[in-house]
Amino acid sequence: MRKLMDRRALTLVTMLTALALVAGACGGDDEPAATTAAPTTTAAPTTTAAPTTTAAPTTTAAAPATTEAEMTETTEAAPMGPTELDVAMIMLGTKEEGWYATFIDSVHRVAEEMPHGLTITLEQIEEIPYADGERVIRDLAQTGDYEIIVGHSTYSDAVAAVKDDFPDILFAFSGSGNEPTGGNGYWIDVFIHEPAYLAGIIAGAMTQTNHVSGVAAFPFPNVNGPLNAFIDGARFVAQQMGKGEITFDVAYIESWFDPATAQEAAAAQIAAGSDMIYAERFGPFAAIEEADGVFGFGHFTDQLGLSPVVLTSAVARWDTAFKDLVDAWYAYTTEGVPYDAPMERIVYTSMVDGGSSLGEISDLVPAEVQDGVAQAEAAILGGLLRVELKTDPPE
Amino acid sequence: MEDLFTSAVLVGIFWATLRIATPLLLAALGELVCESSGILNLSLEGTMTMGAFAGFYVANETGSILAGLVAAGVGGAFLSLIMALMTVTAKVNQVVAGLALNILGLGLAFFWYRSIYEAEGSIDIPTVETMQAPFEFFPIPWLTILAFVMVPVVWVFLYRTKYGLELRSVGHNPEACDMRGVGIISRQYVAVVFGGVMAGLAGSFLSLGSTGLFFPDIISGRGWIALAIVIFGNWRATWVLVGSLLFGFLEATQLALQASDVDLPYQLLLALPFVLTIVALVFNRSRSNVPLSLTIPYHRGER
Repeated sequence: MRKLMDRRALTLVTMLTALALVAGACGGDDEPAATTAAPTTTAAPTTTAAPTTTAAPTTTAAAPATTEAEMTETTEAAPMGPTELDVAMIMLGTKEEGWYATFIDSVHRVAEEMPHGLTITLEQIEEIPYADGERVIRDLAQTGDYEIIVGHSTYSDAVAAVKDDFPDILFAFSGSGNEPTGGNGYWIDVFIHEPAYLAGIIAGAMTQTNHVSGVAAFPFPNVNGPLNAFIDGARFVAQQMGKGEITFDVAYIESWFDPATAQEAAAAQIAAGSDMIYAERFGPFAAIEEADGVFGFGHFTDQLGLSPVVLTSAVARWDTAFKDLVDAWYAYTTEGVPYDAPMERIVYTSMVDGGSSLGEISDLVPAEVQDGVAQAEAAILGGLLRVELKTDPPE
Repeated sequence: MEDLFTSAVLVGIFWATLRIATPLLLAALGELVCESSGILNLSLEGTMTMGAFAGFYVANETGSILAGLVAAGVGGAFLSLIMALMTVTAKVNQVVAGLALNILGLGLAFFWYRSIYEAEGSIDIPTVETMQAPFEFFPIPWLTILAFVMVPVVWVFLYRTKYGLELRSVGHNPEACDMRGVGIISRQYVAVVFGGVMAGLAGSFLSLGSTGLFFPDIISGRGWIALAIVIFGNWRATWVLVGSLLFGFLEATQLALQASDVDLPYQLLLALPFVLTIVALVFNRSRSNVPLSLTIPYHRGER
């Protein structure tokens, strides 16, 4: 009897470990949900109750009236638009990740502009696994505290399940791998291939070994877009300078959050002769710092301050995307314009539209290379240079 | 193909193997000692996260990596002490307790991290100086050296000392030990806490030994791999070493493959260690060294 129990226990352990292995191999995320309060706690004095029910006759008149009402603190104002907009965002990882950090930056920049005279606050909730998305989004909606709820990753299934129960709330989700939901569920995305191309120009001009690399998470459209543009930029400038063929390789580490593996991937690329590494993930800079004459490029956030080996970064900007969401919500709330999200993703891509920009450039980049980059940047902004968006894994 | 066999790449794979194996080896050796006493600690992932965080925080505050390592050990010991309380004293189901502590460890580490390091948009994320290699020609941090030194230490302890024999006896047949007057509770406590300290150090390798960063997901499944390595190694220290090196080698090789022009699907190499673990499990079934009382709480006077 005892033997039998032992065996059963062992089988259970084995099964559990096997399960865990599968979970581990898939980059399983059994992190509990944790909520951090948004530090922006500036609460605007609300004079009218229930902003969703009062409809202002004209938006142009309503916006200045609101700010004036706030400043003079008069309470007798007649029909008037909402003065406050509370936004909640949920994230798969933590706020340090560029995908989320850039969105938070953008919300803050837009909030400073006070569109429609709105005081915008942002609640940020980190580490929400996909499977918990629906529950968390529904909980947030049920509080009634948020007018816009952004599932800032592949949360379209969660939004699709929740959005019809809360027709007054504007929902959004972002990035590749989503499905359009229409109605009050908006699918937004940015591609930063244009600044990545400019970063590639620096790499192509400065490489000594003619070997350029990228360390990335998964073969994923949002990941491949900048990688392809980076190598296109490097190859273009190397050809211009008569440097010959540039070798390019990319290492997919099969995880969004594993800096130690990203570091080893970069170490392997350096051993193979690479001296310019586009770091789509955190981690490669630690390996680059160990080597001589090898430099890195930041992705999504401006990472010049993260390490002395960073030459520049391709930076994402969600400002226009977020502003459009605010406008859609405001038009619905004040004028009753129905939410009508397109049945496709809304992509904010180009540097012209403000979907991306090149980060600060390190002093290590020679002046003539910086000039070349400035020229190419001007050409992109002027519509003379079109950077192709390629979302397949680089050749 | 030939660019995979340059000396720089091969030497790179060699050192990378040792570095990648380090956290796996440390955690698996600790778990081996812990399981030898009959306690299965499934909370390695959470314990390693706790170690990675505690080490990062203290190193960031004091500027001393050594202080960080001590903190990582204490962090791991703290979580495993709860494990020991639950499983040895309260005799809770070990699998349930381990999984619960896993969630606690991950959650606590993230909670503390966010309480201390408030982030708002793209700020400069906190970093620490990483451990230096002790010698110029030896490009591995000294925690790696410690991990490999621990292999013979654990082996000698388990198989060549009286205390090791007693510990393994507790794991196999606690009734007999109890009758002989060999204290079970104290030995299990020590073994579980030792496992926790090792897991804490293993976690700190990722934050202090290599990247200089801390993220709540930094362990990325390595705790589960360490558990698999103990099974793969059939509860023997030497084979735990082999298993860790195998995982490290295959990971290093697939990264080198991706940096080369060889068109072999790297996913194959990523899957290989897990396939090998299952194969080892199947073939070792008849001569398994699993501690016979693993996961079975011992109640005195009960048959």
